[in-house]
Amino acid sequence: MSHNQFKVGTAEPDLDGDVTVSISNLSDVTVTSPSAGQVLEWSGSAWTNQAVSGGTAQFMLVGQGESNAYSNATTATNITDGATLYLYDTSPVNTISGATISKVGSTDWVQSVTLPAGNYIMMATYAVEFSATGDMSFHFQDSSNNVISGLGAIGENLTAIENSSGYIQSYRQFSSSTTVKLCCELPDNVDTVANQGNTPSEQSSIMFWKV
Amino acid sequence: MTHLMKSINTNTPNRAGDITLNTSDIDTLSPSSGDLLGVDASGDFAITQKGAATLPIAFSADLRNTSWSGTANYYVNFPLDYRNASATIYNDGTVTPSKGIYNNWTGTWQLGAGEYIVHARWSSRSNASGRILFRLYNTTDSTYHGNYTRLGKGRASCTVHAYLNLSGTKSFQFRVTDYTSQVQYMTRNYLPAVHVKFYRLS
Repeated sequence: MSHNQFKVGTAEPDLDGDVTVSISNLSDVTVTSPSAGQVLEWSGSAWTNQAVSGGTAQFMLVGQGESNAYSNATTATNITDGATLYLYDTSPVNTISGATISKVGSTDWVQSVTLPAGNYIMMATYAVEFSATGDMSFHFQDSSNNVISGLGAIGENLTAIENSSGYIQSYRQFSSSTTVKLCCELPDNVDTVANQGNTPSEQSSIMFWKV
Repeated sequence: MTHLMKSINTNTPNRAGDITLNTSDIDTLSPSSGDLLGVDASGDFAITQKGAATLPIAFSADLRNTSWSGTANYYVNFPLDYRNASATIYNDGTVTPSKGIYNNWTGTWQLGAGEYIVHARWSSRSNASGRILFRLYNTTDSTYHGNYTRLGKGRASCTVHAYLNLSGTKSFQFRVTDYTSQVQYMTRNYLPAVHVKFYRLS
């Protein structure tokens, strides 16, 4: 059987019977608000237009030097062993597709981030005020409280962890979505939350590179 | 002139005259989720994969200084700098380093438009009680970026994280924002270690 009135996908012939078919007329292609430089990516059921991803590393940065009192992050009196270490950022940078950032209530204090499955370099620098000569370690842990990074240590009395790095730079492979937070370990003479002032806000930062 | 439509790539029209055509009717494709649609050398559709994630370095300096004959102390707005050591410096040609305060020392970096991640560490000898804070400073626009970084007493991390989205060419320094007591500046025989990296995102 043949026809002289036909459509190809959604493309219809003009008065001369000519049909101009574009890629979006194909039944398995869905193009929405295209822009230059995009590509067609298979969603599992259709080719859809997407920004090019994968060519540039995706990353997240939380903690960019803004000022806010640490007492706005927590009602706790002290920073204790195992306590979450919060980071302040009104405009964290997040280009990791599917990653989310969790803040405390309506504040801009970040308590955790959730990273989709993948491979990551995780970095952290943190600062607190001490009431006397002391030290504090910190590490990343997941929602099951598993330690998932190396240890960073700051302070002036590092007898227990002499010569530890003051910085975390760890590589981790996540097979599924993982919630990550920075936690305190073995604080010694860390000053009270009320006396932390803006130090954790101004001098702390975490960064994740998806590699 | 018009023609009767019989088929397109073996797809025949239905009773209404409509032909459903998809990419696999044009070229044989068996995509998996996340695959991209590209073309091959013949111009036909072809499945392609995303490129590996990369984070190219625009500029990197990893070095220990040799010596410093000055006696100056840190002060607010002092730009941290290091003695040039070209063997340990990589520059893709887009970053223009220049002096901070002293000739033959580097302390200013000019970056072109684009997005960057800045990752830098600095260490230096201080006296028993001194410490400084420093921060990445845009000297073109007079704006600070990234976390304040502590150096000196207290074994701090001494690491800068910053993100830059530049609309045009800008110059940057690592400037001292505060200090306690007197901090000696890169004294002879106390060799400061410097790591400065600008990664280009776009």
